[in-house]
Formats: sequence, C-alpha cells, structure tokens
Amino acid sequence: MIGRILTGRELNLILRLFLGGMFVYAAWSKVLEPSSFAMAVRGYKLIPFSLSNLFALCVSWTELVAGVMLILGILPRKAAAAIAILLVMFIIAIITTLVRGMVVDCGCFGNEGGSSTSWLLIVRNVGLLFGAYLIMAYNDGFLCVFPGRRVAPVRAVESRRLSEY
Amino acid sequence: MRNVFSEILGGVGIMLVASLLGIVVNTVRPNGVALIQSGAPVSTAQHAKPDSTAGADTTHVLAEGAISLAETKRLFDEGTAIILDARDPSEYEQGHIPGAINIPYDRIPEYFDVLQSQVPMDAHVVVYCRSLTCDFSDQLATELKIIGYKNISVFSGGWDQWSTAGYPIEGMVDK
Repeated sequence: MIGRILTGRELNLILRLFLGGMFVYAAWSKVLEPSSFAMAVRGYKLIPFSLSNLFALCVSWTELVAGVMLILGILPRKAAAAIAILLVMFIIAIITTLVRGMVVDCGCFGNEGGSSTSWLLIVRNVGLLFGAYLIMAYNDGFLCVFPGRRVAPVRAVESRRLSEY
Repeated sequence: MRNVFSEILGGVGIMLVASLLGIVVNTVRPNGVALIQSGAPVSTAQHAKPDSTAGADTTHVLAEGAISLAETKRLFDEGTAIILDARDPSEYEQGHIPGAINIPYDRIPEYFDVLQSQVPMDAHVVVYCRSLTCDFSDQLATELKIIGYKNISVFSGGWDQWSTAGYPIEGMVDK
C-alpha cells in the first residue's frame, strides 16, 4: 500500500512541483547576486578560494535549470538526478562543517534565510534526496512536457519488486 | 537500479549545460563576477607561527595589513577609521570597542546593507575579533577586499588585548 503511494504518479507529480519550486526559489537570489552566494561558499572553506565564484555560479544555475525542468516536466528523471547530486554535495559539505565544529551560514536560500549549518539541515536534505530518488526511479512522464525515454520498462518490474517487501 | 544510474549520468549532463549557461550569462551581464578569483585571502592570524614566538607577543613582526594594539588605539582616538567587529552578535553585545560596527564574519551577506550604508568604500577599516588565535577578522577582511574596500587593517590582538589593556569599552560588561 505504502509502496503504491510512493511509486504512484500523484505523489510523483507533487514531489516534482515541490522540489522544482523549492530549487527555483532557492536559486533565484543566488543567480541574481552570485557574489553574495560565493561568500557563503567560501565560508565552508572546502574549495579553493580562487574557484569559489565559479563554483557558486555552477551550483546556482544548476539549481535554477533543474528546478524549471522539474516543474515543466522536461526530462524530469534526469533533472531530479541533477538535484540529487547537488543534495549529496550539500549534505557532505554540511557534515564537514559540523565535524570541524564550524558555524557557517548555510547559504541555502541565498541571503534571505541566514540559517547556520545544523544536523536538522542534514535531515531535511536527506528527506529531499529521498524525494528526488522517487522521481528518478518512478516518474512515468505523467503531465510532463517532455518525459524522455526510459531505459528499461520499469513500471511492471518495479511494482512487483515493491510488493515483495 | 540500472536505470537510476543512467538518470544520474543525465543529471551530470544537465549540470554541465546549466553551468555553461550560467557562465555565459555571467560574462554577458554587466555585474557579473570574476570566474577565477584573483588575489589570495588575507591572512594575518598568528596561530600559524611556531610556538617559540608565542611568548614574544609584543615584539613579533606583524603580517601585512595587521596592526598593533597601540596603532589601533591611535586610530580609535583620532576617529579616522571605522572599526568592525567580526565576532558573533552575542559576543559583540557583551562588550566591544566603542563605536565598532558588528559584522559577523560568517554572515556577511546578511549584513551587506549595513556595510553599504555605514562603511564608505574609501574609508580606513579596522577589523578585529576575539584574540590572536582567531581568524574571523582575516576572513572578514578578505571578503571586504573582494567587495572593493581598499584600506583594510586587521587588529590581530583583538578583543582580548583591547579589554585587558583597560581601554574604553561599550556593552553589557563593566570592567
């Protein structure tokens, strides 16, 4: 039952709009003000100083493009994968700050949030990551502009696999 | 699982295309950032020095951009410099150099408006934090340099040196 809800197209559509909306919102102020997001990036002290601007640009634009693709349903599974990669990066980055005992402006929503890194952020990001996984694995192109080709005919296989749980 | 991996490959592709798009837009737009940041971070922190010099705090050679307690006091008395406190707001509230503006080093984006309205670009800016071993002030100085401030000094002795010297302070503590 739970498996059917998780893999169902209704939840998938909701997840797509939610994740997409969230990432477009998060990307907006970063894209408009890359220098202020680059400051947040430097705060993590993880990547070389000289590359912080470039990194900030790449991350914010990926958020924006992948978010728009999710909302419109353009290659939604691949867009969700791009977001999942970002989320894994964010989770690792936040864990390193906590392990190093640093208090860092997370930079999550540009300069509007102002929240510091915390374990709660990791929990949130893991939750978002699970949502992105559900889109990657189960999106069937429902209400998508361009769903793209699936690699394997999964629907039947996947639902059987889930019912075995 | 196999199809998830191929989606991930597609995800990497999207990242590359999006990044490229970002770089192109950044070069076209008037207020774009430098792709490769030139200039090194400001580093005046003394904790990287060998222990043998630790006992000789008053005689050590200050790194470029770093100023001593006496120099800071002079600038404070003259009132020619704007003093910035790079510590947490809570520490700032407990006590700070009179007239210092609080710009927490890890939340500079939030304090951007304060900076722009209260600290002119051509002002002589003195940055300090807790003590010799704290590099918040270096980080703040680095960001200020990137923003475009030219005349930045770091008072590396920080709050510890200032308050133990018995100089005037402002805030909740009465010493």
